[in-house]
Amino acid sequence: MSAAELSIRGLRVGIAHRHGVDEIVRGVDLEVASGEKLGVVGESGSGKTLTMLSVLQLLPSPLAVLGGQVLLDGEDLMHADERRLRAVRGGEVAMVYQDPMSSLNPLLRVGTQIVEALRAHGVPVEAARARTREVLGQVGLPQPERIESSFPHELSGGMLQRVMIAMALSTSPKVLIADEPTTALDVTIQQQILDLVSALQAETSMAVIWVTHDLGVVARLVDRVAVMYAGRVVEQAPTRKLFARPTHPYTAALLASLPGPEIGHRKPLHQIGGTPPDPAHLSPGCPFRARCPYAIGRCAVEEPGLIDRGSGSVAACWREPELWES
Amino acid sequence: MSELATPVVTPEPMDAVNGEPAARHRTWFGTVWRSRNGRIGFILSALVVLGAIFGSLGVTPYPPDAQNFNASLKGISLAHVLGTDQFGRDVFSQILQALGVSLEIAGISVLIAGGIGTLGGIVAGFLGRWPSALIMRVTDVMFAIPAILLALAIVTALGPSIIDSSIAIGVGYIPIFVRVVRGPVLALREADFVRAGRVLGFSRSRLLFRHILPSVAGAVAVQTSLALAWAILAEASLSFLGLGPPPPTASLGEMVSESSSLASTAWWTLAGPSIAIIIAVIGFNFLGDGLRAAADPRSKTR
Repeated sequence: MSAAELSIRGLRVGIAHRHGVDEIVRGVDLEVASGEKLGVVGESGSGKTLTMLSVLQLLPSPLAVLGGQVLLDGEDLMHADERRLRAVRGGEVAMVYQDPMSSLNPLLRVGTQIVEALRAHGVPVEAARARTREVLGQVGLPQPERIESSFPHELSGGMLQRVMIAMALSTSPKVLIADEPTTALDVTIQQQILDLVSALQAETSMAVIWVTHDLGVVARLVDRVAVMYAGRVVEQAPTRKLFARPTHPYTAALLASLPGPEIGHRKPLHQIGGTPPDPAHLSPGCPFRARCPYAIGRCAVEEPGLIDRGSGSVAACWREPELWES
Repeated sequence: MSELATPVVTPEPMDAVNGEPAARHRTWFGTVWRSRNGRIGFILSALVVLGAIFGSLGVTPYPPDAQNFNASLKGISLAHVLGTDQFGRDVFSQILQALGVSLEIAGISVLIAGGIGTLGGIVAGFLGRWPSALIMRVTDVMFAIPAILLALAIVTALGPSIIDSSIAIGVGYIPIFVRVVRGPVLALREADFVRAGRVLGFSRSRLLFRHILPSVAGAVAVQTSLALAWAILAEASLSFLGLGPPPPTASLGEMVSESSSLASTAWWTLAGPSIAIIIAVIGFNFLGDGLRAAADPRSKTR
């Protein structure tokens, strides 16, 4: 692996209040190199989005970064001033999110908004206009001139997501964070967006972090997957490896609940029993143990750290996968 | 003021998916004109404004304060379209002049109320925390006092002149603007596209002036039009009570008050200024209604 473009080290996010601290993200380590695609998977509330927002330091008010480092190309963003952060946001680190419909100003034409995003990063007007047309074409929108002068409500969801991607790419970011950008779209459009991001990434060699709860998307797109649970990364592995041989019971359970292509002997889909714990109020031990079929005595006492499982994968589990059933 | 209309214009994109970008976009005026109320409102307001301009410039059939005792209390005729009063002054000319004064006072007071109120609303909505709390509490207190009472108190303290009347009326309407602006600003501050702007590295001032304010402009325009109607009414009330600008200046409220005793013998002296007030109030109210439709971004297309 080449040097990391963006690395998150020991990130902790939570709410500090009179009686102490509620930690929601409890020490997350992630890295992406340029040209690499990292998938971050987890259910709602596992801290995926908060981790990404901390990178840009845009956590909503009561939430705050409690500790850890965010390094962009070696530069510590936690200690950067507001001016520098504004330059990073949308400049070096761009973000695309779930709902393209509400992420654009309804009163301004689409083109105006992309030009504005460029202007905010010091691009002169004429250059910004040219670049806008260029990126709109790049994301595969037909008739960029027409899209440019449309208002957001005149475009479909898929088109708007392309616009959002165009906007994110306009400044040639080093890192693109995509926070479930395909959730609001139907499956065909989803596939198109995935292909588009792959193609664009191949051209620009930027690093991509793709946050999702859809393992299918992960399998098709990313090189490496980090699975998050209750505010921690519980397993990280190359995509192929993760799907072939998960080393954390949670990952295994997630994979077992994916619908397969087999026709004929349909068996009911596996589901993970219980509910995810509230990361702010965890009891000691492994947060997954209540739902884990392989839990042992130690799991209730001590929370496992990430343990090396070979061939580039790590998992936060006391038990070797070979011994699960015993 | 029970008809406190507080239109909250929160622009949301339409969920309808129509891939064909509409080529034609209606102008504000076009949208106002399309609704019946907007059309009526625009015509009436335009008449009032025109009358006021002519009145202020002195372009009237007769000099408004020229007395002619040979023609006192004459009814409606070709020479005097709205008749004459007991001093033989042409009622129509007086109305034109009074409209000029009324509109000037109403305009200045709305400028005061709209300016201070909008600024207050933006500060309260965008900054939040203690500036918001302070502004909103002051607003609440002002709301507790009826605007017309507040105006009476201020005008008695300051004395009756055009500027003083304007201040007196304007102050009372500040809280309405504060509330009308604060609501949408508060909602827009948390809107996805504003958050998205932050992610794109926009500065606070860019977000405020470029993204939040234009979305509030519609609500302010509507409120301005409605406030003009109230201000004209308030000015008429003040001068009816004898607290308007002093005598040589004609004023609608004063005309109504003076002619009320003559109503049984010369109805036109009462009808003229009264109807002028009604036209002005209805006109600006309906115009506000039409603007409300235009302020909605969705109604601009198609």
